Amino acid sequence: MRMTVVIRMTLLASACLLMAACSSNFMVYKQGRHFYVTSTGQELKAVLCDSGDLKRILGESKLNLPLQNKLDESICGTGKVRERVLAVLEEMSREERSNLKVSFQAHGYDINHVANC
Amino acid sequence: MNTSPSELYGKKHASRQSLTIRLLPSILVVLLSLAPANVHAVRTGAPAPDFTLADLQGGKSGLRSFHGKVVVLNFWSTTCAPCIKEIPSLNRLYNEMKGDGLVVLGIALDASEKPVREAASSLNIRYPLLIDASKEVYFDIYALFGQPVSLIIDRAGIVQDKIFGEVDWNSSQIRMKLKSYLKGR
Repeated sequence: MRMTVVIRMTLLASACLLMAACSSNFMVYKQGRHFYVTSTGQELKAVLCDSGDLKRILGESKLNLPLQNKLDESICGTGKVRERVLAVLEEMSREERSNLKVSFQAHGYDINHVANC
Repeated sequence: MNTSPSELYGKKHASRQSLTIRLLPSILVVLLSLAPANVHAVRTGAPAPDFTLADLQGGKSGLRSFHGKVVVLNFWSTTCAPCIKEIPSLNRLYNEMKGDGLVVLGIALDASEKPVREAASSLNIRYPLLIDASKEVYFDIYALFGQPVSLIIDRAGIVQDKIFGEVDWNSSQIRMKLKSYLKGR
């Protein structure tokens, strides 16, 4: 009984820690506007997904293909979950994040830039 | 006194269960330190990765040089309204606690120094300002998102808090927290 309570508390604490690691947001900025990449709205979908921009950015990012697919699926796929997008970005190495950032910039985007408001 | 096999089994079982319960916190610590092994982002409870950035005086400043102090890393930019809004309270906090060992490093994410210099002057910012124009520290190394975002690093160089969004740095909650870290020599 006591064991079960301790295990439950352990699992709860672990879940809280994992959730805390993801409580922020990822934005991209283009032509004076910023967009939340984690958004499930139509605007972000039109700018990044339907335009083909994300595919081009990933294709020229030097990231390995499985990671490109993972990013594409988490950002433009159906059943998008904010935490999943951020988790994929956090799992990436420093070099991979740098490559992704540079590729966004090469395509006219800046990352995590807040539009002047 | 003879002990029956069933009593012996019961004692052994209870002892094993008690040992497991006592070891569980240690197991949890090991698991938590292993679980995020594939997470290459700054996280609370882990050492803050070192970095060196240019300051507004033409020099360079590294996190390692502040080891032994309590450090607040405040990532901000001049185009971010909530970032600007929290600066006066951060400034006040720094002025009051720097003598106790508090270091505040404002890390500006602006693409150029000019607006940062103007903001530093108009807001009378007293703490050191560093420039991370390429977002190398903010994004590549620390994997942070959104602005403002602040990290509180204790005297041992461990990230204690990751705070997203605007903060009232003069709130009693923040002050108590920082005082406890400052006492933890």
